[in-house]
Amino acid sequence: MAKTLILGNNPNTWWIKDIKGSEILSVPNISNGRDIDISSFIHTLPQDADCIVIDADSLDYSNVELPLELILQIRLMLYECKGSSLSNLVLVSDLSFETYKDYGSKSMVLMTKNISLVKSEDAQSVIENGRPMTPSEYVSGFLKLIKIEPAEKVEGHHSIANEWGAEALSNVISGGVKTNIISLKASSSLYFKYSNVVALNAEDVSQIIEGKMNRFLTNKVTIANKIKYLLIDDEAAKGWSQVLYNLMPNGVQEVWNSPIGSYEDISTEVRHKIESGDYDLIFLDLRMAGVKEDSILKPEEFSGMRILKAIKKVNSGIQVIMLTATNKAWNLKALMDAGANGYYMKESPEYHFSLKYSEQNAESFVNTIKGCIANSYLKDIVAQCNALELPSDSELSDNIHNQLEIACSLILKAHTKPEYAFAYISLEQIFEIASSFLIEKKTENKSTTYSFTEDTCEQCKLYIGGTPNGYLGDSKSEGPVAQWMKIAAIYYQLYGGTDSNFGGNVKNLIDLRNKYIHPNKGVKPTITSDNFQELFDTIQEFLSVFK
Amino acid sequence: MNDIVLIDDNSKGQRLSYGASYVDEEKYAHILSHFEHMNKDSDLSFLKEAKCVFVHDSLEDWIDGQFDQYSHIAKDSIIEYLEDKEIPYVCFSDGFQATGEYDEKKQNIVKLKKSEFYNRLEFFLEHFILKGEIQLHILAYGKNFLLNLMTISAKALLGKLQTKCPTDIVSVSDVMPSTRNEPHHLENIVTHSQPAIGLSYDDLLDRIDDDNMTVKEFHININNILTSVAKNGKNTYTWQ
Repeated sequence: MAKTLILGNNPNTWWIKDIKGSEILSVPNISNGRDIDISSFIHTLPQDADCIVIDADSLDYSNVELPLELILQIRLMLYECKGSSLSNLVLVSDLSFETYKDYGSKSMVLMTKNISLVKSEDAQSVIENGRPMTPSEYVSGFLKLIKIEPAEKVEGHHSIANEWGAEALSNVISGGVKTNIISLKASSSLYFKYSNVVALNAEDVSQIIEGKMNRFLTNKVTIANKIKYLLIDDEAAKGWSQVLYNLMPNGVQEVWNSPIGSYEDISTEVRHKIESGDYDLIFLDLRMAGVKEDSILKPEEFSGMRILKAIKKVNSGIQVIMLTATNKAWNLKALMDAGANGYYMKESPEYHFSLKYSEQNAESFVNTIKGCIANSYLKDIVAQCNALELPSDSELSDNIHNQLEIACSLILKAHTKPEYAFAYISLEQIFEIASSFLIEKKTENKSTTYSFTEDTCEQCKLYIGGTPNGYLGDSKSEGPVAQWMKIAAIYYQLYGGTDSNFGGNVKNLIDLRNKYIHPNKGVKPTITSDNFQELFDTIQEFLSVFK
Repeated sequence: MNDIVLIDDNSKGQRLSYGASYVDEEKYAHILSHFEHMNKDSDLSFLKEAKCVFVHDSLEDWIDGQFDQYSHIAKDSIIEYLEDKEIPYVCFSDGFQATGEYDEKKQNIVKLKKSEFYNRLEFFLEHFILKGEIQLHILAYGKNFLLNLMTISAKALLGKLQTKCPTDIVSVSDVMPSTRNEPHHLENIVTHSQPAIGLSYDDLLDRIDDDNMTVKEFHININNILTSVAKNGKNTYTWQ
């Protein structure tokens, strides 16, 4: 027997007693525009009604739109109402159609399939002769016929995408748990509900009704690293702060959420933290100046772009992930060209992405974060590069400085094993530069000696374990004079370095470079960011004795 | 000073996105004055001659050349001044509802959603230019305010008659307020339907008392009035 549900506040209404087998649910008084309250009420409805009758004239008279809102939201809340969303909907009112026709999309719903506006005297026959829609009819007779625009224009498209994007990401990473990541107000809005269902096909609708499809993945995603990160987003409170917290529960989050147009607008305290490398990662919203940026077309004019460039100017090694609602390739390219280490394209309700796309988008974001965390050491390298005191010799200084820049630019862009290796080899080149400037090889009477090019022209000694042990090129140094021996001589003999491990470290580091360039039986060793860091630390020690 | 005064910090430039750029373009400068920068030191005497004032309920004080989102002293002073001088005013804010809370006695709208305020403001101003009338109903209920007002009353009346079937007879007690605070909905409809309705409220009560009017006949009359207002902007139907 068909299950009929009557939503009304007067069980003594004359025509209701003729509707057999029906259940009556009272409707709370809901003020105009209170989508949240309507959503909450509709959540309580059974999911298997064949017919839902709305006794419009018994509802709160001060809100004329309420019956229309109920109808529309029952249809749109497919995930929550299941089969009831496809029920035969009958709006019983003795008011004329004229009074219901001027409410935009809410009125438009009266023109869609299986919805009737009837006078009380006709209610019984319409209810008894109606039937629920099929999934196919739901798509063709409802979804394809309505269009709902965002109600809130105040913060523009950016704000809507902000909340929608946070919700979409949260749904993917939350592992099947509804997180309420955005305000109930936003998630209850007609526009969000419409966007949730508008791209569905009949098969999707069937699966949702049968409970075989929901909007959540089953595996919860988290990043366990204990990192400190900064979120710069004027609308951080609209979900992004929470979704990042959920994604990185062990992280320490700091947030800058005031609208700003440039880097200088950020407080001195936060700028100091950025500049001193306090954050392992920065998430930066592209539009930080509210609606003023909704009409911007050139990527360089976005506040987020200006801030990104300023951060990268301070330290190009700081890891920055852009959060953006733009899907324009030229904007995304411009961001990457300006040094962004990645981006997350916030999903927008207008894009109508499938769940599969949301999964891939989220997975890509997680991988981007992991990559940036792994590269967070780069900011220290760049900072150390900037702070290096180079040898006083101007030509040598220039050459080392140039080589450092090349190595740093390579490591900043490195993502693959060969790219890490090239950066490493490039950095090692500094040893070559130093030794060729500071050590001179002389061959007389078949005898080869090495001496410093400094005024003293002192002969270079061989250092083993930090202790002198003969001279480079004499009988005690077996085989050809290796690069590491020259570097050790410069370090210990010329500049008085004291770290007894230095020579051995240099030997190992140069050996790694040589094995990569001249692989044994074609097998190249893997060079990682850790190797680069180790080489950099040793070069830093090397250059530190120059002063 | 103009008759109509708008005080809105517009601190995020929302007027543009609300489609109300005409305010800053001074399209209505001859009737509308607008102020963005107010604080505790602002001299409010300029409001004395205003016929109505619109105030952003979250008005941020302008302190040291910038808005302070945590300070709203000016707004409180303005409301106090307007109450004291009995000047009609409208308070609007994002957090309020789309239908204004209209106070018939004070002829004020105490609360109205900001987006709806700006949506309806231009029509309100055009109405003022055409008729010289401060019609706050337009702000409260939209440009179809008359239809909206009458529909609310009609809906309330039909709700009262729900237990009766179409062939039952309407009695005066059916259409009278059931509580002291309930508005006289039928009287509202008759008042807003003049003069075409062709009878006074008392006349209509007499007809209901004497003529054995059925519920269906009552519905038809009410609906014909509403349809007439919807089509013509005013009632052109005579009660049958």
